Amino acid sequence: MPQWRARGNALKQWIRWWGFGVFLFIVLFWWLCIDFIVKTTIETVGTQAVGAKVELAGASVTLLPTSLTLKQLRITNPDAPMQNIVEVGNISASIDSLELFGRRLVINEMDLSGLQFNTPRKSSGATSDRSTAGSDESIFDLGGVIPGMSLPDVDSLIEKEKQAFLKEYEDISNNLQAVETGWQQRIDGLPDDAQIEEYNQRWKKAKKGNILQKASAIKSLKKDIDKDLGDIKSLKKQLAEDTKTVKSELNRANNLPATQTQRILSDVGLGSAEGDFTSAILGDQLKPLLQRSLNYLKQMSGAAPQQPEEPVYARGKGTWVTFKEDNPVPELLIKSARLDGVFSIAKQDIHFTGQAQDLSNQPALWHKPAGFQLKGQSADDARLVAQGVLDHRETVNKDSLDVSLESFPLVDYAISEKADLQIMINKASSDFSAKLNLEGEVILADIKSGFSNLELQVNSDNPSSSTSVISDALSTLNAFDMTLKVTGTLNNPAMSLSSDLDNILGKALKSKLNEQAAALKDELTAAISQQMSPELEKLTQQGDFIGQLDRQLGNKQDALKQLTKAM
Amino acid sequence: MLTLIAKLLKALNSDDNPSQIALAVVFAAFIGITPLASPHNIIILLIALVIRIHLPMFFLSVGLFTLIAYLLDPISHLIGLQMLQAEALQGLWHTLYNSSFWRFMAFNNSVVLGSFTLSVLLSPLLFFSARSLIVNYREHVMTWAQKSRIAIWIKGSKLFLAYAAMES
Repeated sequence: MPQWRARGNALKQWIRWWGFGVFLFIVLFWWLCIDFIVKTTIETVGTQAVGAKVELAGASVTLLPTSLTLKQLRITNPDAPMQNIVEVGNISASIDSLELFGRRLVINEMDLSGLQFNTPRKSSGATSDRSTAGSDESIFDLGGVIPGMSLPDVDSLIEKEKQAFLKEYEDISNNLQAVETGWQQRIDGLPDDAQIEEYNQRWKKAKKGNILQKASAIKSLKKDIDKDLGDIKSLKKQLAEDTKTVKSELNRANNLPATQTQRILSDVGLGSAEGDFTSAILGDQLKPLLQRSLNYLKQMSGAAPQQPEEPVYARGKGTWVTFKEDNPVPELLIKSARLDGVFSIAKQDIHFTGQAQDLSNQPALWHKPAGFQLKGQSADDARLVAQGVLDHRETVNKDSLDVSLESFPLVDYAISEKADLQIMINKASSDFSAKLNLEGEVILADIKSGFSNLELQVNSDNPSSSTSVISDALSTLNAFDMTLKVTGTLNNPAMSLSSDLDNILGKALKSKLNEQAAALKDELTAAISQQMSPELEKLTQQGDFIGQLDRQLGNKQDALKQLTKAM
Repeated sequence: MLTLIAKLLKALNSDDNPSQIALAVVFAAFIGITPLASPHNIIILLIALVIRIHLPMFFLSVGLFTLIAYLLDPISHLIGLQMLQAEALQGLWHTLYNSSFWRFMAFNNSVVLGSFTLSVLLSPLLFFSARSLIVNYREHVMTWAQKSRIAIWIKGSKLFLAYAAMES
């Protein structure tokens, strides 16, 4: 056998040429299934990450050039499983194949078309391992702002406030009693009739003695009388002050019906018409909106810069140990994305187009912050402009967002759905602008909105005089502005809502309240005076002691002065 | 499965090259012990299909080593992690990490590196011990079994003759 044939046989003994065919068949089969594998992987991994169903109508992978196309991506809102948080009609991405080989998904260009948010689902997208309880944190305290909705019954009000009145009465009575008791003790310390008689006896006795004895006795007697007169003089000064106190307490007692009336009026909301009406009226509608926005911001700020982590071992998966990269590139990077879609705001569609750049899961590894710019327009010519920068490259995230929506027509939009007060904007043109800065946890937001060409409709399930006042005021309203400021931290935000509505409603309510309050005031004052007259009478009598004191002091002073004169 | 075992017994009892059967065990160890989806397994599979190793033994051994891999997993992880964290090797890992090919090969995964290293270390032992076992089996057990009364009885049975006729 020739040597080459022997070599060929030896090669044949070790090489199985059809093995190449089998291998190629396996590779081809895998390649034919790659679209299905990608689709299933995205759905499975996405569902695990979101905590609700992620669905895809189809996926397509091409090798040269490397690209990925996804059709009808639907991501369920984990907190509302009958709604998709986002839906994308078509995603096509051109992928850097070299980076993909290095286990990094770097998308040079991406097109996201048919973007829609909060679209309804035909079936629930909930996964069994997640509860859908939403956050119910209270961010507005709106209690006690709206004035009283109806005029209360006078007798029931007085009955309710009787304890407060009696407390006031007791307080005045105790004060008068304390003054009287003090004076009782002081009067007891002054010379009484017996003492004055004793001074007379001493004078008579001194007159009978020799000149020296007489002089000595007069000196001693005069000293005692002068001391008593001095005491009386200082007590008279004290009395003048206490008289003022007693008069003031008696005045307080006499004014009790009037002050109690004012207090009752305030308690029932008829005292004044100054308040944060906007928060009270619009708070219920704004609360969920703000809560949702804050949750989005929390999620956004949660994408903290990548810190070196201790490798964690998982059985069968091992740990991925990282090393320093000469040219660091994030594991996922979208260099540029073109966006187009529809925002549905207040039942109206705004078609938008825009761009996003440098989106990454490891922003610290990329030299540019993520950003986006959007422009949109509605069929009614409302204009939307939004831009933002999400800089998560340093330890402290710095995000900024600037949104404006101009000439947005609002039609049949409910701004308050309270049982007491339902306000519907039948028609309005609105402008809206928001500036937001987020540095770490610290938030600073200034959201302004203006409504013009306004037509409002106000209803109430429990009509009252106040709601009718508000209704009247709002029905003539043509425009109003509103400003919401958010400060503090994401976990503990402080919000203040101000509006010229406060002023407008305040004025309207004030005139109505004044009218109502005047009638009620007279009625209340008369009723209180009548019901509390025995107590007030007692207080007046209690205060009479001060006049008697003055007389008592005067009598003692006169008696002592007469004695001194005689000496 | 029964067919696979029958083919395996047939291979053991045939004149097939013992090295080819032993090599099948070695390649199976690589695929079975290391994570199945690791990229290097594509190359191993290509080699296993192209080199004339004993395929039934290969597939049977892959199943066996996959079971063993579950027990070896923590050891593989420790070996891999020690290697990846070894000070002396940092330069090498840094170079490999900056190469797309090696990152694709998932060398920086503790289980992939550890199990692959374990497979490399075990492969000579597996090859020579498997080869020795086959040779010894054929020399001693098979010769003894063929001469045993029960084997003569089975070979003489109509059923076996029918099977042999069908095989031929």
